Amino acid sequence: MNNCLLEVKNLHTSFFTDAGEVKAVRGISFSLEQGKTLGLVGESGCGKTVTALSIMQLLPNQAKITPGGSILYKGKELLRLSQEELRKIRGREISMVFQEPMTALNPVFTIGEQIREAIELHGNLNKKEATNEVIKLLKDVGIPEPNKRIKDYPHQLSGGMRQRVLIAMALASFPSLLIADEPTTALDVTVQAQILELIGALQGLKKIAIILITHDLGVVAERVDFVAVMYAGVIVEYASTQNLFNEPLHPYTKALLGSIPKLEDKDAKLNTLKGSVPVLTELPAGCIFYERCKEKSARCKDITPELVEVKEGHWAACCLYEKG
Amino acid sequence: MGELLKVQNITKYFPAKTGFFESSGAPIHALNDISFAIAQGETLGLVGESGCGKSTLAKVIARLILPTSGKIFFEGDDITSVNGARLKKIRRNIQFVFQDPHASLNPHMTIGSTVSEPFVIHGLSGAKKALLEAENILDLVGISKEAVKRYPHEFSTGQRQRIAIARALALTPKLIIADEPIASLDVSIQAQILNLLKELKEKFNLTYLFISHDLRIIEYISDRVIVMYLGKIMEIASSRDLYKHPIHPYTEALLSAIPVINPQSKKKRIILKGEIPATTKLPSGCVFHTRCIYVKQRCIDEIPKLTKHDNRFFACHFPL
Repeated sequence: MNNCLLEVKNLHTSFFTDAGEVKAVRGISFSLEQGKTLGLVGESGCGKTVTALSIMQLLPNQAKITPGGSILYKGKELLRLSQEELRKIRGREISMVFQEPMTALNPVFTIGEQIREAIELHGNLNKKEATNEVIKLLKDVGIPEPNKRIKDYPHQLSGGMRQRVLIAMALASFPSLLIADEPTTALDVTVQAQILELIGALQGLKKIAIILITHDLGVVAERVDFVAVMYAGVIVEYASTQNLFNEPLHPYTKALLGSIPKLEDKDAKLNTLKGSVPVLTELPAGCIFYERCKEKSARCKDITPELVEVKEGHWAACCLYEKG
Repeated sequence: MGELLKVQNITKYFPAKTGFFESSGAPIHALNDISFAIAQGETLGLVGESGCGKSTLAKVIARLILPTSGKIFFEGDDITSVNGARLKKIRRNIQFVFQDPHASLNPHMTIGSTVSEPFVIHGLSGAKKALLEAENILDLVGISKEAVKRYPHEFSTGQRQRIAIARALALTPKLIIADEPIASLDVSIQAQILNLLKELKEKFNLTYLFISHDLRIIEYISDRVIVMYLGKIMEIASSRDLYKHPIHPYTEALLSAIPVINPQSKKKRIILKGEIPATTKLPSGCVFHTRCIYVKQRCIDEIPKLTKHDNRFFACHFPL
């Protein structure tokens, strides 16, 4: 792929804890083109956030990326960069928006100061120009009366407004890639609609690529071009949004879609998944979804299925689609 | 179907804080003139965004907090200010399932003592027999009997919520108030709990007041739905009517904001402007007028009353 912006190959990330090695991400690969949106979906603990933090290399101390994988950004290997070089990419080229806007903002600085810091770190504007830039950014993300608001502290803003501030901050340096980790989970539906609309509009305007991490399949259906469904640290299905929702292949994706109440048919019993996600310290042999799968067969217990291209551009990791 | 619970003109103000950092100011208007009834055997959904007063209303009904004014009737009896033995009897019939089962189960008590405690408190059986009862109830919610000897931290969130449901169910109450019971769970676990609640309802002829901010879940579980905004009821209708044809502009906006699980659907979306106003300074007239896309002068001047029309209630001067 020529205009490939980000290419992740065989990424493994583990946490080394007292309870043993927790393999949070176990060999995932995907790529993202300029200006496109990739959705990472899955339930809690499936490795969505760890994937994002691995790309940013913002992992906590006890976590390590296993050698052998690769994260190529604009053809550059991020895993081989020095801290200094990484800092130039982080924030400037790749920005991140976190789930909880209250903890992501510093409570003792005004929002104006916090956004200006991002501009000054990555640009060469003087203070006055930077302040004007802040006001412009706040206007872009739809904050009313931005010249007054820059003097506000985070606690004076509502959740939706704080999330807008974080988005403004992430966009301050004109990144090519924005990683949004559950950006609307802490927000009410009407505010969620506002923020998703905003992200979509800004993406159209600035041609940035987005990795949108969410557990909400509705958000995925509306906002992303491609979806990677994750389960227990691996990608079990990858497809365009259309294909994934029209014709889900992996039993886990099917179950996930089946467990959401549909707006029309309320008498139907929800299709539930039995049991819960396996513990990542003691992973079973064979397919990790075996215990909960409705379409399992004897061989699933022994074979660890690989992600194979079942149809053009539609990948699944399941014995049902293994060749041979 | 008879009326199980009726609330009449419930209002709840919380006095303004007068601490060191808080300037004394206007009180918080959490609930304003709320009236509705729950029929025996129905599931009434209560939906609205954060801060609209859903949980305060639930606590007022469960008699966990007292309303500033208004009345609550349970099976025809005024329970607004009962206490002592009569309140204890009410508690037996109105039970609560909370959002976060990590906080609602006592970490120092075994599951057995948590679930059997209601029997002992209400003097229905001795400790030994109560434990057997607890085992039976746990079995009903899909938790194995060995659980009675174990502690809450040994269970996953989904299992803990099952245990919290078992505890609420222990004395076969008539009304169960479930306040965001599945909000902290993953989708696949949410579905398990929703199915369980539906099953139990049929088995024990329960009545639910089901609170959620998730409109999809509310539609799935509810017979009728109340939509709240800023401490007021905007609309009450059967779930079928409400989702097919919302009458209140707020309901319309709320429904249009639900992300659709179908990438092809090109749904018309109403993006509300601005933010929910503060509950200390309610807007004049209709509380929704600051964000309503159809707002007219009358909405700013005059408070709309909750009016009944064809089995539906709505508080709007210009219904859709």
